[in-house]
Amino acid sequence: MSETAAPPPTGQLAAGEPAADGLVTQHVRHAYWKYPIIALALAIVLGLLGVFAGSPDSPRATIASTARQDPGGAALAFTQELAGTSASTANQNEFGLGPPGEVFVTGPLGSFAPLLGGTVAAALARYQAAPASQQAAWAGNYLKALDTITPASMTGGMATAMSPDYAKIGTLHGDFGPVPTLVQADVQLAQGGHLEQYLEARDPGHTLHLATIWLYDHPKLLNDAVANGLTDDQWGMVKERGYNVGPWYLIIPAIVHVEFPNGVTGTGFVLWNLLLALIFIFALPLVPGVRSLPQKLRLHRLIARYPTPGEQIPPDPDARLHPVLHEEERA
Amino acid sequence: MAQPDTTDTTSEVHSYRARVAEHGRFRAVMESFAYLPPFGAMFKKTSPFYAESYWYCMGGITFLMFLYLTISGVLLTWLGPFWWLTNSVGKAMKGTHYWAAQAFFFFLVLHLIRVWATGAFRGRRWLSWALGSAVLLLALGENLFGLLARGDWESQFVAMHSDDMLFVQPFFFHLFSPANFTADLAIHVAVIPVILFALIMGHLTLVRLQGIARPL
Repeated sequence: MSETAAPPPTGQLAAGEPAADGLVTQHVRHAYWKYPIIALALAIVLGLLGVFAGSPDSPRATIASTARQDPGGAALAFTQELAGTSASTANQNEFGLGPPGEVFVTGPLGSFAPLLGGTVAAALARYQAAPASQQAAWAGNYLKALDTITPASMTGGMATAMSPDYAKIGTLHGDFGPVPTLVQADVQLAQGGHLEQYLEARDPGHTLHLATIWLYDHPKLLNDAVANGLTDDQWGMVKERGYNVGPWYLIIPAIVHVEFPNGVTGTGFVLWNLLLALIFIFALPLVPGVRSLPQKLRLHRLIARYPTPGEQIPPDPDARLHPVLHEEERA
Repeated sequence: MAQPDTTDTTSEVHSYRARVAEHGRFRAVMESFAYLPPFGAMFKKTSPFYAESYWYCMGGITFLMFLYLTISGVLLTWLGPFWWLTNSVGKAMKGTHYWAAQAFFFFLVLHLIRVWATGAFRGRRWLSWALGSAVLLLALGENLFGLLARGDWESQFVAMHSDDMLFVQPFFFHLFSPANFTADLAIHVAVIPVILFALIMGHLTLVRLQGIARPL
């Protein structure tokens, strides 16, 4: 080994390319031997993190558990489905959904009518026989009435809907038509897990699709997010529920989402991110002045390897090749 | 050992025996993967001295994480959400998949810093920069669909929160809903990774053709 290390550096350096800043451009045998060690070390670290730190896993909400924990919220959601004011109204043009009042209330009640008794069947028949304006008036009146048994909004985070007090729901009186009967029967279906079964069967091949959409109509999902600091104004994009390590690499889209004008809207978010991506891909490496920034900062001094004092650089192994092969190797 | 003469062939210069003579048996065995089939023909055997720095490994480690994400992802898909959410081995596998994704982005950012700081984006290498940027942006999308495909509370909340902000916008053509777990999983395991793989192969081919960029 000492014999092979003895000759002075050859190769590119000797070929007449003066290296600036003491940069050694001569070729040496690449340290592939470190690769299996790095891979093994990373595999061990990943394995230990996977077993001991695990990954974020807050148990998913179900329609049954949500409706049992907060039946008032379920009643509010079903009334909003009928009134056309639920969050899922925005989703009804998406592939696979439809009018929320039919999907989440009248559809499941019609399907389970034989099990729910004559009162519910009669209420459903009366509702469906009424003109759309009458249906909307009943649901709208009931929505206003539910508001009278709803506590004041919680503070902090995004404005969220509070749930009506379900214990007081029987005290409401007004021109609601069959709506209270339908809503309370649907709450029963939800609490028993039947609504989730119905929604899964209605939309086969689209697992959890309708169930998740309804869960967002219920105030609990957003309220839980606010309580865990996960909404837009709480920098939720870079956080996980109940887990310290979140998607930190989304920090730039998160800044766009929270701080930029209109970044909270879909159009604003997409356009701002597109602009930043274009700056990153085109302006950073191509615009004169900007592209020579790393040259001015001389950051490569911290990155390239320089010989330590007294370090002997081994000869380029390819320098020993036959000249013809050497050319092929360099090509 | 005698100094090999100038009529040495490539195989003799890089033979196991020559490498043992150069740096000893341990190093020769450890690096043998780069000299034997199928990798032997793919890797260049030497690199400039300045590039023998860990900074220059970051892209390679990012790719290694991509390979691990692919393998663990195939296993997770094969055994399914019930397995990864309830079985202790499945949970650990999901954990390594999560941390490999964290590592993927971590090393990708270090690689990006290296490329930018050494000016390795200049000239024709801009194409490589553009392909790498596309990999980064698409990987962020892959990450979103991975989150949606986890099957936990966060999947539910982020599905609807991203849906009502983003996917109800007309420019997504109402093609699908992120609340649809089946679509999320399919996009995460069968659509984006294929495109990512093609982009990464293009990126690697360009790196192989254009060689290491000398720092500014």
